[in-house]
Amino acid sequence: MNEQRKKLNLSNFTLRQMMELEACTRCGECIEACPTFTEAQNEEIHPLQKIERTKRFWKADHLGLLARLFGIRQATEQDLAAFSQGTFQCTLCARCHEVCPVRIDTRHLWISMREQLVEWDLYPEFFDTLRDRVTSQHNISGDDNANRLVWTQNMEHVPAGLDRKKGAETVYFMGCVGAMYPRVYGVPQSFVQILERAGEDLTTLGGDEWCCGFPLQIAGMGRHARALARHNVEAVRAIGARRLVTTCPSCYHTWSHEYPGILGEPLGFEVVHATELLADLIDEGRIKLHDFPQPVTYHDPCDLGRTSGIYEAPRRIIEAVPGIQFAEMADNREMSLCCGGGGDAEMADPELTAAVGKRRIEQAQETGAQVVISACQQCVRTLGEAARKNRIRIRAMDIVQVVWQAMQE
Amino acid sequence: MEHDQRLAIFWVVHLAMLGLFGLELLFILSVWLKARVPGLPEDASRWRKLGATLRTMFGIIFSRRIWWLLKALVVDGMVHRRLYRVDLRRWAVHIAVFGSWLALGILSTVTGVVVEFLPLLGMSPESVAAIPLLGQLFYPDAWWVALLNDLLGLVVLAGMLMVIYRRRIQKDPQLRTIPADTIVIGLLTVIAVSGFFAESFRLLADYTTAAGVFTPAPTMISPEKLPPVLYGVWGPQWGFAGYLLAWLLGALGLNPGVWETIYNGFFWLHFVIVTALLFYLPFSRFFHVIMSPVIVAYNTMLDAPAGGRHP
Repeated sequence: MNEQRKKLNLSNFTLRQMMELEACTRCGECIEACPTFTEAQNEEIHPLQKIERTKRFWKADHLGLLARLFGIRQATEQDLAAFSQGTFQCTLCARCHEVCPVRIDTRHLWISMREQLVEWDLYPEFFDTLRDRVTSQHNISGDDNANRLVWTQNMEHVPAGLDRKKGAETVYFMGCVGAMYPRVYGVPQSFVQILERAGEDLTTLGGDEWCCGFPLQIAGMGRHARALARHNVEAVRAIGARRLVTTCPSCYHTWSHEYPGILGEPLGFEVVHATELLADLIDEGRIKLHDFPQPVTYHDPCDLGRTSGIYEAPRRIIEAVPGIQFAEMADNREMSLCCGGGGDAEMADPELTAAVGKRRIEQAQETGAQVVISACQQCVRTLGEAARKNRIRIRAMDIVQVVWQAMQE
Repeated sequence: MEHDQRLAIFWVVHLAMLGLFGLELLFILSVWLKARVPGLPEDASRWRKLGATLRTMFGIIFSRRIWWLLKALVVDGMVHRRLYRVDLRRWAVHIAVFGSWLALGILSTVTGVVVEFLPLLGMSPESVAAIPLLGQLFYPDAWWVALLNDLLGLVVLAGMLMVIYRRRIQKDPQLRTIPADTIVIGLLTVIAVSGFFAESFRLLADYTTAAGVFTPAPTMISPEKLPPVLYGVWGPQWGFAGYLLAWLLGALGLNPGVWETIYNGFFWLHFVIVTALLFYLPFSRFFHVIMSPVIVAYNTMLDAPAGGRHP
């Protein structure tokens, strides 16, 4: 063993994950399902290799003589570098979980591997910047977090009570991308106007909204996300809201699936994604939609579909829009292809994730759609970029923007 | 080597290996318990983690979720429903290997109880053999026992050949073969093949006359080994593969003493390989035969409506 390297720290993994590593049958179903491996054809990326390497690492470090007896050798610098590369080039799309005959919870396993790599200091350098920004500025852009409502500045009409209104029924958690990146300001702008027109009592946490911690968690730096979780939950509790809604599926997933575990207690309020809320408002007749006569398709965001199980709400919304011509892509719902924008993989290898996005936008094109709708600002950004780079005449829109557009007379 | 002496050594080594296998599992579990257990601090002691894990386990056993778990264990852990939906051919290969090994393992265990343990309880061979159906396991040449053993053995062998074909000849693009795979596949194939040879050498040792002629008859076996009550179901020819092999080898005209020696050799070869596999299993990629049914059942249960993975 490298003298400097610490042993693999088993507390980066759960007991269940240790069992999952051994449960892998090496059937290879995940290899064909992996979008980044399909593009890169790099053996280090696919799930089988990551699992095999982790098994060897823990056995070499913790089984002593028995490991040597069975020919399991210590990891070399090259092994570790290759493992790091493969693990951080994964978009955490969890498609491998869907095809795994053993139902291994692969996504959490990859995150645990990243935690180990962070402990070994074997991670992309940019992650340090990301961690510093989020822990000091409380957002991923590094801007002053007091500017969380900067997107309201160019609105003709700003709904009342958006900034920390006490006693509001619903808190809108904008997310770092929606709040801080001008290219997607249209998402929060559309959303608050829709809800105002539907008569919802809505507010935001304003400058008290901190990053949900998702980017750190998936980077393998989840320890730094705990303070963010505690702060955000306290902020919502202070408002006294009974519901929290997000337009970002990653924020939604973190709030609904990770926060209760981090806090060790129920949140005390409901967490919904914007698509669930909008679908209900449409069903209740509180949103009136007009013609949107365009051929469209829908891209399931990984964090909304596979990891959170929301597939039908966005489709209910699309099908409720008069005149819309909706066609599914070849890969949809559980088997939806990743857009390439997830898992912080873009920071590790932008060319690779662009290739993943290209494949997805081509699938959208094959449906004859003029608009590819998603329910995630990151997916919209990635798909829009892929269409632009590959000169494909298709527009990427967030479902919130489609609804707002369809609400106009 | 005398039959009784051989069996005595067999059981001593077999039980010792089972004990060692159990110790290996405990050792691995003790290492795994260095991992996190949700709900406990990272630095919690291994005993505390074990306690929490057992509480979770018993919590499932004594709840309605046990039905989801059992259903998933059978449907996904044993029948491999998901693989069936994806690819019928791959499912057939996997079931051929896994299902047949499982069935052979169960048959061998029940046979061991009938042949070795019931006499220890004071039952005579005749009275054990007289137990309806179960007693017919007292001697492997009961027609249906011979047929079942050969059929299952052939299915295993066919499955193993398909596995080798997919990995070595067809080179299926979704497979990655590493030395750990090759070792386990090699061991399993040798066990399957040596099983047929061991069976045919036993037939030759039992049913070859002093003149070196292979002419099976029940009366050639001592009543302690084949009680007359089993004559009605005696039918070694139903074990068609081993019987055919014995018939072909019988043409060599060797005397029964030679066949007995060869049989002893093959019996021990077969046994040593099985024992080696058992010893190697917890550290090999073959460990999935134990872990994957556990994990697929648990994870499927969590995904089920009653599982409630998410608060």
